[in-house]
Amino acid sequence: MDASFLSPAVAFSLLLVFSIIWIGLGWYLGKSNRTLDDYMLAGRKVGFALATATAMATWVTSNTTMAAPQLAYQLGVWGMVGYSLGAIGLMLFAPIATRIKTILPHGYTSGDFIRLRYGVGAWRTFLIISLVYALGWLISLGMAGGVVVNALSGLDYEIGMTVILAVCVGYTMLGGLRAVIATDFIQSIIIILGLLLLAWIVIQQVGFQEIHVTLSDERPALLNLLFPAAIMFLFNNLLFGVGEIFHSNVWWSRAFAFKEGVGGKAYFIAGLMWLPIPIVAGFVALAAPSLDLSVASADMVGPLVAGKLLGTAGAVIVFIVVFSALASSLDSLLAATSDLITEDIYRGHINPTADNQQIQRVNKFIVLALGFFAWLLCLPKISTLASLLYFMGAFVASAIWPIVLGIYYGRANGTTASLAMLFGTSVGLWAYFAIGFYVAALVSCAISLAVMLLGSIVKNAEFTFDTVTNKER
Amino acid sequence: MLFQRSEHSSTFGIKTLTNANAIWPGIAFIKVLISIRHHLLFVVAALTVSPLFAEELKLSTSETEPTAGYFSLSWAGTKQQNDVLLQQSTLSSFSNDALMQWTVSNVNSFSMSGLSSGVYYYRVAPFDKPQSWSNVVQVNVKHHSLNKAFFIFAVGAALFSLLSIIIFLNSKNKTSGI
Repeated sequence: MDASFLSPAVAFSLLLVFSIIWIGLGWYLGKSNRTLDDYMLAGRKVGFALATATAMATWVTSNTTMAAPQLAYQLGVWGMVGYSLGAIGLMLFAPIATRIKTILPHGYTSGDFIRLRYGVGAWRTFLIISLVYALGWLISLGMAGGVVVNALSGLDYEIGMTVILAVCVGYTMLGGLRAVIATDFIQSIIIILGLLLLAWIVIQQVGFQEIHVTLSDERPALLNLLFPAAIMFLFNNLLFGVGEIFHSNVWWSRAFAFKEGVGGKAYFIAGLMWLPIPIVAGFVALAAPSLDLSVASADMVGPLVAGKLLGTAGAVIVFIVVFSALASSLDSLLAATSDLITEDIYRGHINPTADNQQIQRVNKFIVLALGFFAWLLCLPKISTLASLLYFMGAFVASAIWPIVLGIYYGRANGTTASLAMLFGTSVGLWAYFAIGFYVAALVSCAISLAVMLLGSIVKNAEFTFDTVTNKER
Repeated sequence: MLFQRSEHSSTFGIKTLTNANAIWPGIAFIKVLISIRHHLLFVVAALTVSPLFAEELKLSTSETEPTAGYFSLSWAGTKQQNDVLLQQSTLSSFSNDALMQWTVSNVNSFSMSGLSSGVYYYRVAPFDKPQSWSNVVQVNVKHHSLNKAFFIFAVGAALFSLLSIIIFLNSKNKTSGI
């Protein structure tokens, strides 16, 4: 591995400085948490600016900063455009967030809705899908930490991965969702400024024309607007993003945490702000052939381009941006997944009479356990980031229709919702291996819709939404 | 490496022979034959595998028929190579008119992408011994058909449109379902 971009000492110093900042903030913000609502949902009174920033920063993950360049490098222009369509998920979730707040004003998790709306069978199926996804995402984030540190400084993959997981576990345990949202605000500003600076440097130093000429000669398919796999990928990525957001407790917990009337606007604006970020990050990767870079693994292309162009300065920028992006997503995922496990598995299945203090203690323990479990699974670097990420597409896209139809229509029933998730996931996984990662979510979503429609015709149920609200209260 | 292993085996063989000889001469004779056979095998191996061949790189690919134009090439040798020359050609002869070449530093794999449909040949050599070419790897890039791509695109577009319409219409009707 080329270790010339960043010395191990500089890499260690950066890790240390940011670790201290994030953990210090977590400790400081955690001091004002008094109740379970404070810890898990930031008191349910997050305002518009923080709400928008946390939604955007959480959606800018290591995948945006590292898998978007990988997709541009592998699928070309459509790869980066397709990745940016992930913004649509945030925008479409805007009205859903408003609706969630209306029908479940006192809810904690996405599992709460599935249980009350569809019953125990669908709830358990949903929990399996949700936890598989959360774990996959956690692993991809941990792996990204290791990959970026290794690519830029030559430090062992295990070191970067361990530090990023430990820091995020630390401040999430200390500060809860309040710390997560506040750090997200700072991290979102760092991410936007860092990426803009990097793209500007690429344009200045390499230039559009040279990139175009080199790609035309060496990698013509990357500029081809009729690139078949990339065409398949466009809506697959959009639906994958929709599936991720619609089902994941990361986004539901925020909808519960935002003040009345804030969620809809915040998610829509966050989507608009997020839209250009993968294009900027992906564009950087297209300069790799012009720079004669030896790209050993496609998910390292972003950091390698930055390091090659700017040496230490570029490596520092990428390091800070990716570290911020990783932290902003990892903390949110840890908080939301531990909420889901605490509420839906511990309180829902193991100890229904647990009081709020017990819940809070269990929640902190689960954050720690999740971090440790993710660390163990990150140790063998099993896949590239994009391959791992899109494997999850088959799972999450199967939940889109059960959620959307369940939120708006009374005819959708629990058995059908379970079957839709099971069949959608199974066929989506088959497509992942038989066709490619770029169709798994799309196939899963299509099968899930077919099952939902068929089930609603065969079994004529009529659910009244008053029931959800009353049961919840 | 190969010669070290040969010497080690030989030493082990003589020790075994000494111990067995004290027990029964018949066993000792058989052991001598086995030991000679081992020695012969290593001599043959040493002659067949010249020092030049021992440094030759072994090239492999992650996919032989990629459908999205990207795949990974990786190589291994008997010693760590810092810089290698990687050649790509559309002709198995690697003649100049269809040749592309990269110098790859400090890594033992190369992520290739963006290739049009067609057959490509690859080989690598140590940078300081440019004639010691590895085995040739053949990759046949076969992109999915556009018909299949647009069919999947259309399914995706239909799903997205339906989803958007449902959400949009219901968000307009604020009392929907309640």
